[in-house]
Amino acid sequence: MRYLVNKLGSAAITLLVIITLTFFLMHAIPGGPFDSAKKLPDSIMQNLNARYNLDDPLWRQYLAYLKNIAKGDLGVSIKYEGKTVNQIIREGFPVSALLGGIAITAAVFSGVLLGVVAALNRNRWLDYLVSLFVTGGTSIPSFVLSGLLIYFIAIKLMWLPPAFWEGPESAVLPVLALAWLPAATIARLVRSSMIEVLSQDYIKTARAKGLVMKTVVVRHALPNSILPVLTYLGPAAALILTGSFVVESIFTIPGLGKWFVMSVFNRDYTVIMGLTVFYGALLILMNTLVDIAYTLLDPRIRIFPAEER
Amino acid sequence: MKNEIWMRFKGNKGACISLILIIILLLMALIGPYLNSWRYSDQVLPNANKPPSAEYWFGTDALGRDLFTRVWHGARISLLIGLATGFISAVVGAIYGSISGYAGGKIDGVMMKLVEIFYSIPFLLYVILLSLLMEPGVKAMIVALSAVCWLGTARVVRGQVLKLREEEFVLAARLLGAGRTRIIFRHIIPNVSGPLLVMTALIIPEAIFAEAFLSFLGLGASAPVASLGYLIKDGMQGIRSYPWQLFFPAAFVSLMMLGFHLVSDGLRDALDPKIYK
Repeated sequence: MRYLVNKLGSAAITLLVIITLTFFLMHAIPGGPFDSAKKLPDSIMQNLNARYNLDDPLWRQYLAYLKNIAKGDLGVSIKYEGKTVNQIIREGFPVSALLGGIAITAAVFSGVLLGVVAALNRNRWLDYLVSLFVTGGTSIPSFVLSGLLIYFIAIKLMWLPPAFWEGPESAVLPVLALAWLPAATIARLVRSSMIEVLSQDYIKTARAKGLVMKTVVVRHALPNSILPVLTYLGPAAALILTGSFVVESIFTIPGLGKWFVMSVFNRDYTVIMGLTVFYGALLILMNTLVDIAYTLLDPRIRIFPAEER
Repeated sequence: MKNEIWMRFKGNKGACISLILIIILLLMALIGPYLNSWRYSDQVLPNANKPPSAEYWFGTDALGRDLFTRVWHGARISLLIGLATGFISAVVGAIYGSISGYAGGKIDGVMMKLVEIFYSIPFLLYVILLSLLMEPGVKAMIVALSAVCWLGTARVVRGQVLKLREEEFVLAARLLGAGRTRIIFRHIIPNVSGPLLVMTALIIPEAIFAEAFLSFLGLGASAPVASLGYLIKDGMQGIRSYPWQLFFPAAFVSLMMLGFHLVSDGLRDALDPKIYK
């Protein structure tokens, strides 16, 4: 319980740091949001600044921003009149969450499968095949992979649509592009932890009492060797999230990632700020959930806190 | 000890081949742009979008610029950013980490809590914000990437230092009257060089990837200099008709990352497999 309170406390602090950092970084950018090639008349500038409270001292703007966030209001776009960050999230997030959810599920399943196969066939050709996939997966950036997938599978072979978000077949390529790297990392994690677990005494016991290899692997080895995957879920979520920036832009998927890239491109600072805070909160939530799940599944963590291990 | 590490590294075929690959890439990044008569910004509009040929080894881009020259020029920028980021992160991380680890107690707690908080923020998100802050360019990119990458180094170094400071040679140095600064710089930091090297080898491909990623989003070093990420972004536009414009820069980014990944794996295995588990 104390552990839980501790975790939630540090999650809250991290979120506050993210908000503060984002706010001051965005306000340190030289030039105002209304600077454009065409000089606006001073009176219009003043009205704009007053409308968005840009005349207030920085600390007051910061407090106002904090207050708004506490109310769940992430601000308005300064490039698209009438669009709020909350609206953008409502429109874009379901798409991104679906895409990311499928990608992370696909990554976990294929990664675990590949890792187990590699561990069971240690130093045989299947193992080498998996390690080839792992090295390839960690070395090919997602945007390169997207390009290659589009060229070979969508344009040359014409098996799948190259872009847009219409129907399940249009999700295959973006999911592949997003899931590849986390799948490779999970495969590597599972392989090494599986090899370690398989050399433990209780596996020998299970084998000795006459269980077939399949049962031993599924019932005894797998539950213990997929624990590291759980810790990796936080980083994997971050990876898929940043991956979604390019993947959604390349495949023209109307998700949050595409919005983020667009607002970076347009220098739509309030949207960048709002989305960064949203992303930060999302990831902190994920990490905290993973931590809690981990303590529930692995009692060793509760007895030996991280610092002592 | 050094010999033994080198022997183990040499025993790792993948790592050795990758080291050679990296050296070749570095050499080509240095001399590649001068191997034919084109400069990276020479535009010959009638020759736009030409496939690879004897005249244009990697073909040309939409403005009739020689892709061979541009790819190696881009590789130079990518490598420069990767190596510079690796170096800065190593220096800053080593100093921060060893001070934190050696001081211990409250100072260590506060210093590490700070690192911990920043570390939990997705790194590309912050690099994006930082690069918005500065004029886009190679320098800005290096600063933005280093500002984030040193965190990992600091953590690893601090962990090492916590172990090292209980060692007898540190006690001996202290008994001989060496001050804190001297102990940290002369005795502690040289002894964390192994893990530091591995961390740096890991940061370099990470930085190359991040730079390519940001250039792809239009936040990297801008025209007419073009890093590999920019070339990939350009190549993506003409993917239907001129796929070589994507393939060549994509291949070299991937090769570069592959090389550094395998070398850092090899180094890690050669030095001590247990530290990073």
